[in-house]
Amino acid sequence: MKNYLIYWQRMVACSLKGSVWYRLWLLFLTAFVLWGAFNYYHHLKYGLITTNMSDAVSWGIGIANFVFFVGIAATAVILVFPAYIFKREDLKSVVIIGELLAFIAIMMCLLFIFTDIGHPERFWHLLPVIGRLNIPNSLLAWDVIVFNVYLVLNLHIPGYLLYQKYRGKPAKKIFYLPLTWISIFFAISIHTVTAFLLVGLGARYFWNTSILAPRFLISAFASGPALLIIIFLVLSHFTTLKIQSSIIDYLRKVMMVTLPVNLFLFLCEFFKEIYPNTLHAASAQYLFFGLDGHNMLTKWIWSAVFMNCVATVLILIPKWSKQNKILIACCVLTIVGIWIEKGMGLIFPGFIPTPLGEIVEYSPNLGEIAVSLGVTALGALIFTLMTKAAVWVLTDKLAHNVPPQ
Amino acid sequence: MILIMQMIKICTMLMIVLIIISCLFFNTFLHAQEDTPATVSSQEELPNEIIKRTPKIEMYRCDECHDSEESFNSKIRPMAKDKDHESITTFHPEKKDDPNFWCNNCHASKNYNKLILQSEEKISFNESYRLCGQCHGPTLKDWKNNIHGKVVGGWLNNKKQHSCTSCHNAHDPKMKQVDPIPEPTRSKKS
Amino acid sequence: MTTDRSKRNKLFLEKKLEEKIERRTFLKGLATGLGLALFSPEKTANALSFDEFWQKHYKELTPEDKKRIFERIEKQTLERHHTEVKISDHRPMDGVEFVYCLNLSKCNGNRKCVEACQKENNTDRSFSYIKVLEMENGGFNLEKGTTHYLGPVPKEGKFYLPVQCNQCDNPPCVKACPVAATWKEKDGIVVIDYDWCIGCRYCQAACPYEARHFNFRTPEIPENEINPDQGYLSNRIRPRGVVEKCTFCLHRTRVGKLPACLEACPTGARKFGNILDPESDVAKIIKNERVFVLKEELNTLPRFYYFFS
Repeated sequence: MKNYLIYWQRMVACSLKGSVWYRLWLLFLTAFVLWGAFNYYHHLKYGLITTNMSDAVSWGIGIANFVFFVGIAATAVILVFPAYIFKREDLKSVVIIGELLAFIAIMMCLLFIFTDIGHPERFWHLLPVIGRLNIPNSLLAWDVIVFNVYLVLNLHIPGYLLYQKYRGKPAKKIFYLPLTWISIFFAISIHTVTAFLLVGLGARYFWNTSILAPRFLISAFASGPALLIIIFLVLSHFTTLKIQSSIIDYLRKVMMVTLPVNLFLFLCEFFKEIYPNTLHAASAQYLFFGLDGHNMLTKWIWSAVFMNCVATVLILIPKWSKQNKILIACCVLTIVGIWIEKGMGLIFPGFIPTPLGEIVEYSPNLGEIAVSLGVTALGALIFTLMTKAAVWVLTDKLAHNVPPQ
Repeated sequence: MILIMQMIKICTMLMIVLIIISCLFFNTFLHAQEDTPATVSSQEELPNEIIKRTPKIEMYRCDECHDSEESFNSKIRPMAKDKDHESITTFHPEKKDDPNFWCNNCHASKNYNKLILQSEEKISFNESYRLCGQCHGPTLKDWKNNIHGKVVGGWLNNKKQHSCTSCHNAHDPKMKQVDPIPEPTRSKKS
Repeated sequence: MTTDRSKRNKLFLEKKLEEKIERRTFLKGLATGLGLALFSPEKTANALSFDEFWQKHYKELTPEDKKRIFERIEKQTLERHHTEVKISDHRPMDGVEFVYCLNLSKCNGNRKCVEACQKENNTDRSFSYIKVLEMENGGFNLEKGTTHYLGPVPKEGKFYLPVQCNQCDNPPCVKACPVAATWKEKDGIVVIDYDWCIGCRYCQAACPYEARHFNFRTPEIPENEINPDQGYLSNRIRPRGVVEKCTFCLHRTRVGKLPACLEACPTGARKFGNILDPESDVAKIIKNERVFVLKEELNTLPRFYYFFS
């Protein structure tokens, strides 16, 4: 127990040390966290009236980001699956980073929800036994369950592996391997349940489409690897952690499949809505072409489509995508494109027009953007700290037999 | 013998004539039955208590002026266009130019505080539905079933039903346009 | 059974909390801090108490709990709104299922119901449970309708469609709620426990009739217009950050009265009653008129029928 506390103490100490740039980066993130926290305090004090949400568009940028980061969380499976099932040794060395990313993404998702609800102090109503979780009826209740299980799994597995590595002892398979398999199942579950959360609403024709869950997963497996590639390139640039080129290559190949498929599924949905042009397609009409002169989202969705198309072309030509600079550009385009497509391209139009046919447009105000940025920055901050410590453990700079520097 | 035959013939003819005549009479009787407007003869068959009109008619009661023999018209004539009758110049607008449509179609001829039915029965203002129902049969039926009109007081018991003139202007029954209450502003900004 | 469980839980929690003073203070501090933040600006008077924080779900409340909570709410209302109110908790009657019928031929869009509803239900004045749509004759496309019409009404070539909670028999909102803060009662009315709702607004997204409203701000009600006859599950003044909706005025209808919107309607378009009684007005209307419901294809089985007569 004492050793474990020392381990934590050393991890924390290690994660806070670093170059000036590293500390500036931490400071930069902290500034955003504080800005977000200040705005969240404002939300608490005056109520959500301070946001631009309304009865018409009752979910805003918080939920949009939530949906995007669920995708990031599910991405860990892209590393976990081949590493543990196909036993790819090169991936095993970095799978911890992927699991930490999943943990952080889930934590951010929960924070996005927490900062979005009207009575966060009643969170205990969601707890088992003392609360009253509406199982099996409510998809949101299911979401709470799968999220928390996934959160715990992704805290336990990398935590255990890192601790064993720190102690210089081999990890016992029984303590993590079965849980890893379970986590693969839950990675798919979190995104499927999140999709079902929207699909299950018969009143919202825009979401009530069976293609949503596959679209979510595919777009997650496009944006997630993109983010992982960036993270790995950054890590190999700034740390001594060896990222084998086969890892980047593997993630690139994953994107080579998922990006075109994502476009194809997008096209399927687009056709299904726009070609028959029923009244149920009003939201899609609004999103892609504008409705009754309201077209706030059209420029966003078409720029997202453009970005995804460019990214697809870039990734499909190996000559280009093997160059790191082009690959990074492609990854950034993918992340931004899918963030728009899944966030404002999916959540907002679901509310517009309202079930009674009124069009109330929504765009987040500065306070909401600040809270969202704050949550994202907090995620990035914790991820940076954890990854820093994890990399030191992985590169044997931090171990029980290595004295603190 | 011939006489007897003649007698039978005459009797048969008479009978045929009689039958024809009775048929005709019966026919007219039947028609008369159909033509008879739907009326409500008594309050007993109504399910709900009817809200009384008379307590609400306080101002400008007819009998404040029409109280003597000479103040009643005996012949059909257009309504006087003076200031006393300003608000009741048009009754049943579509019948406005019908020369046979005048006060005494509905008001008892010597007692304007009573209504009069086709059957010459005098009824109180509280029973306006009996008068209106003479022409508006289906509406009367809907009213009795509370499809038309308004019942207040409760859904379980204590039901009180408004009669026609609670809502409709007796002299201008067609509903008019009104100014709606303004919509609560949807904007959530304070 | 459930009461026992929750009682045990509460005892357990309280014991736990007392074991560690620091922890208790922390939690209390957290609760109070959040309460302060949530119910400011008038500091301590509005602070979230320990009792409020741990208040149980409506279905687990004992009669004593209810009495205590109702007294607290009455006291708070007096402090915050300077009005004496009475909180009631009428339960559904046996053999009663409510149904609403609305005659679209009669409705003239005067919005008297909208106003009456606001006053009866102590809602914030910026919205109402009832939305009246002005619709084009010759179609039923809700998108062609508008709630923003101006007088005089009724206009030529239009008809008026008031929409409020349909009290669905298969309510998508109840299915959606993650904490079971909303449920269908025996008489068909879908209610919300405002003290259990976490304000996630998933039910709002689930409702096909836009019946649910989220209190983005603390409801603003003119003090002289507060209705003192308040039901715990219906028209008591809602806290901020929870969802609310029409309850067919259950504090009125469960004692045999009629909903406020019906009493306010000058056209007699609104009909209300017990569908299980074949002699009731609504039973006769459903039997004799050609009634329909909104968005039947969603299979929500509304208790709110429309007809033209």
